[in-house]
Amino acid sequence: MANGFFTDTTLCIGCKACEVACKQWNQLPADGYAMTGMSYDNTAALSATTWRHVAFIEVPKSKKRLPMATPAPPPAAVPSADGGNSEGLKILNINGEASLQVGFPDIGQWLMMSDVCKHCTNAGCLQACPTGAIIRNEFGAVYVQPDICNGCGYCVPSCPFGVVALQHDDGRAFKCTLCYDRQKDGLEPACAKACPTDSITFGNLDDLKMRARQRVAELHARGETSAYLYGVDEETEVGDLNAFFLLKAEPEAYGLPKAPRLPQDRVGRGYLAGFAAAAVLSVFSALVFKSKR
Amino acid sequence: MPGLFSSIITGLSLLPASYEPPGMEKRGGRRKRRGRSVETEFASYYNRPVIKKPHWVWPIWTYFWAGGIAGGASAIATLAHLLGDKEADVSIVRAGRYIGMVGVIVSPVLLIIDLQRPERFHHMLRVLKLRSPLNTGTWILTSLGVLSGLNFARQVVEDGIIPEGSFLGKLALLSSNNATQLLQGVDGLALGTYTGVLLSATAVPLWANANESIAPLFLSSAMSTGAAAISLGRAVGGVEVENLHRLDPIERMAIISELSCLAYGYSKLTPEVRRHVTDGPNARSFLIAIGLGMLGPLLLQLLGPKKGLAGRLTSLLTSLMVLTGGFFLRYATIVAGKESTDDPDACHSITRGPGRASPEEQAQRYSTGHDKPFEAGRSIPEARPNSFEAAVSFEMNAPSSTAGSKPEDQTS
Ligand code: SF4
Ligand code: SF4
Ligand code: SF4
Repeated sequence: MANGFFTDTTLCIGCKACEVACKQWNQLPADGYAMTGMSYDNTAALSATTWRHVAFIEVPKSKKRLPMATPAPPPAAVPSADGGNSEGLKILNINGEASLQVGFPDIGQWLMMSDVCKHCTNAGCLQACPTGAIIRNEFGAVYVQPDICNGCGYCVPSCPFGVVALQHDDGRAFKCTLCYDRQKDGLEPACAKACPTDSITFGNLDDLKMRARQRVAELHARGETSAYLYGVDEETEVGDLNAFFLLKAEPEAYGLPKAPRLPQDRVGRGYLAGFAAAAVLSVFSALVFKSKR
Repeated sequence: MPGLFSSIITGLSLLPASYEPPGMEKRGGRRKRRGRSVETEFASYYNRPVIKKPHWVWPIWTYFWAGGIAGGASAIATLAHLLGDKEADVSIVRAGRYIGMVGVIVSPVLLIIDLQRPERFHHMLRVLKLRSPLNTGTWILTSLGVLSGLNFARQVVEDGIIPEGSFLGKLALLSSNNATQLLQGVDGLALGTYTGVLLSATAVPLWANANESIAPLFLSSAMSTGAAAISLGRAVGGVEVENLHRLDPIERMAIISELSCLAYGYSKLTPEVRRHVTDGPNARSFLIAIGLGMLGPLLLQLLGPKKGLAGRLTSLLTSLMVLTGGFFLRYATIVAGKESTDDPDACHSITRGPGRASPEEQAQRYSTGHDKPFEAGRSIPEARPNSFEAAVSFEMNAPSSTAGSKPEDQTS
């Protein structure tokens, strides 16, 4: 039985509860107060001490080329919270006259996505690890055994999603464990537990996939035609992702590769090409040594 | 004083220009993202890197270089031993065995230095994984160490450093023969190859994109640097000049092979990845590798003198040039690869391909076969104590034949 995450980015409100819950449960150190200067995202990326990362993509209305896979649908007929007021906020003085009018900021839409290790079916990190420290555990998750890892760092460039990283003061590689310890005790992972909108849902993958397909169809029926699933039902080299996503923009906008490739698919051909060159050069050298000087 | 210092630092850090968010720094002070030279229709996430770069620094490229020399020298010494002239080529075998021994002593040290937990080096040898080049390579290096040691011991005895009659001498002669030498040669070729496979089997855009050309490139470079090291050893060791140019054809052939691998690999790069080879300081390193390590020695060997003191000096010079060029080849390949990981355009340029259905296709895939309309909110799970319990209870009709690729998931 494999468990995983379905992260529905249309439900994400960017509260970062998952980031905090993960840090707290796993006792991960803080990353300092660096400001990235980009959107609301000061976490910036997944790292050895950040196993959940909420990406914030601000799409202003005025932006010419949206990072959308398909054009955004026209605004829904559903009345918004402010009763459809598009002029902004009026501040009235004591006589009831408008004294100040504040326009709404130019926010077309927010795309937020809680990124995490994908626990790939064909995991580049797992196949690359020379010590066998990275294993697939009984819950279908890709798990780094901290007592085995010797910090060679080969898993780091072998992950097609840039997830796993070396912790510099410790030397070993760390990433999301899919809350191995909590799952052992029959609890759902801390991030999914903390998510207030159930944007992150945890469960059996078959259930999750069914729910996700249903959700896409439902969103399309409602007119949100840019919704699609990333990481399941696709022919990619990494196979289905145990943590998959419902996205609205093209994968690149979220920093995800469009068709992730499994690095180890190149091993066989690499050796073949290398040994072919070795054979040619050896035969040539043999002829040189056999020849009369 | 500390207070003053920290307030100066704090003040400086508040200056707008002083802050560079991580990952968006200027690239070595040269190319500030002056727009994309190649027009892509893809966005990126605020120009953040898509994948993470390896931490590898000088121990790794030095190891690739030293390991390559050891591997090439082992292979050439083996061929000379098995096929070469029994008198004239002994000096090649001798030099090859000595160089191989030095190489396999230096290489593991460099490899262990590079580990962030060096005391756990032996964990590499607790499994055998053919899909992991680093694991396979550690086994190759270990076995090459043993084999080189055996053949080196025989050489030491043959050179009379340890008397043949002594216990150690007898042991050394007993424990090595033509078979161990043959195995050392094959292992040496494997060592030269695997370093290239190690690089191409990553997600790093440059290495992944150059794909199957890096392994033969590094193997050829191992052969040319191995031959150069042997020639250098012989030139210094006072082999007569007529005999000194024995390995030149091998060196030339290896260099030609290197050049063809470079050209083939370069032709396969996408424009976004190619930038990291042709721009900036890495371009200079690649040029040094090609000019000093390949074209220069090639010309010098073809046009240079072959006799007398000038011949000896030419041989020395070409060997040094090939060795330096080989080092720069490893350095440039690794550094340019590391730099290409910071470039989201380069990452995306090699992961386009097929493999993702458009939203419309997906909508069609998931919505066909539903005869009843969707009820809004049904798919959002109700409050549940624990998502271990199946939160889904709705029925889903079997998809039509045009539907997704995994029908078995939906019928369960
Ligand atoms: S996303 Fe990366 S780190 Fe996670 S399982 Fe896949 S390859 Fe490994
Ligand atoms: S750093 Fe650790 S987990 Fe990563 S590949 Fe090396 S040994 Fe395996
Ligand atoms: S599953 Fe656990 S370790 Fe992974 S991101 Fe969630 S809280 Fe962190």
